[in-house]
Amino acid sequence: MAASVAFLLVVLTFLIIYPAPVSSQSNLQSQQLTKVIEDVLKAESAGARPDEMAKLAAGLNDVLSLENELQTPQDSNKAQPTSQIAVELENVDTQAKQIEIIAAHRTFENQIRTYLLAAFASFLATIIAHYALLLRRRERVKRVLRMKIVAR
Amino acid sequence: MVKLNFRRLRRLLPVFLTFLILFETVAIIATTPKPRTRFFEFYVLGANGSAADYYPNNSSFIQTGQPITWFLAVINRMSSMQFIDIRVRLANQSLTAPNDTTLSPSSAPVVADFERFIQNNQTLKVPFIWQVQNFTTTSQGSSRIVQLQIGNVTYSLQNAPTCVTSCSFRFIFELWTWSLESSQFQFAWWNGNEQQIAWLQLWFRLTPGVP
Repeated sequence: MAASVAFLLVVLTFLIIYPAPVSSQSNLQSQQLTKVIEDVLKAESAGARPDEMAKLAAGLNDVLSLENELQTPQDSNKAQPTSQIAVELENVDTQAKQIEIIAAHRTFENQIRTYLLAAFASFLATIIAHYALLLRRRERVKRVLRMKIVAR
Repeated sequence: MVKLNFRRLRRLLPVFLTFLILFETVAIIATTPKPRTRFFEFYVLGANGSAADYYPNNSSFIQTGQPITWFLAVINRMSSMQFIDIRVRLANQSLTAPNDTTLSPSSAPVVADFERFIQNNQTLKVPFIWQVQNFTTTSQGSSRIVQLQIGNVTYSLQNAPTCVTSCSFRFIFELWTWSLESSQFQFAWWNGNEQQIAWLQLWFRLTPGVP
């Protein structure tokens, strides 16, 4: 009994002296920023257009401006920009995800269109080749029919 | 018009398949992104936005309170959007510059930095307007910049490098890129299997009066 109480006391003392490590706000923000950048890059690799990427880049640069405001020593009200940064990052992330879906769909459509176009081109090429050969054969037949047998 | 009967169609099938393979191969090659060399173009322009007129009156002797305008330009050729940080360091002649072999940054202290997101194939131009607001000179003849203004921000420099008489100061501009793996800026970027760095430096001398 005494041993278990002593053990409990030791554990409690340990927990009081060594609190659980908590990530700093800037660390959390840098992790969030990395996640947003990853999503933006996913949208880009999915085939987002330059104008869509410009919108995302502008949103991220706005986040940087807010972060600069936060770092300015004169700024006394720091709580507002911090929450604004988080909201702005969330907005960019949502936009990036939407753009990724649209871009992926567009890229898929474009690929299908290209492959169908290639199939149609090969069909046309086959028809052209077929009629070209046919025409050539006809010309040959005509030439043969026009031939005269001359007795020597 | 010649009717396409079954025999003709059977004869045309190999021709069609040959064309199909040929055209689809072309389509696949055209739609597959090609591996490209990934790099940044990094340069500094003078007050007029050209590679000239870096200093007023073409003299690198700078007086206190004399504003100097440069433009830091970065072109992203990394095939994707990049998060970059241009770090500005103030150095003298003895402090080490970035090492292209070991890919290590300069040992000079960072006085300012510019973080930006830059799209692929886009040019970023950051105005770098600076002036030395105050510098001290000791009896031994060594000088030290104590107050520097970059843009609208005034920096009081605590550990700025000193410079003995007739030596020069320099600004070292380093290009850092965000690493997604480590969630922090890194000095070098990857181009395939090799790492590359980009940095620039511009020298200047301090003068109390007109040179």
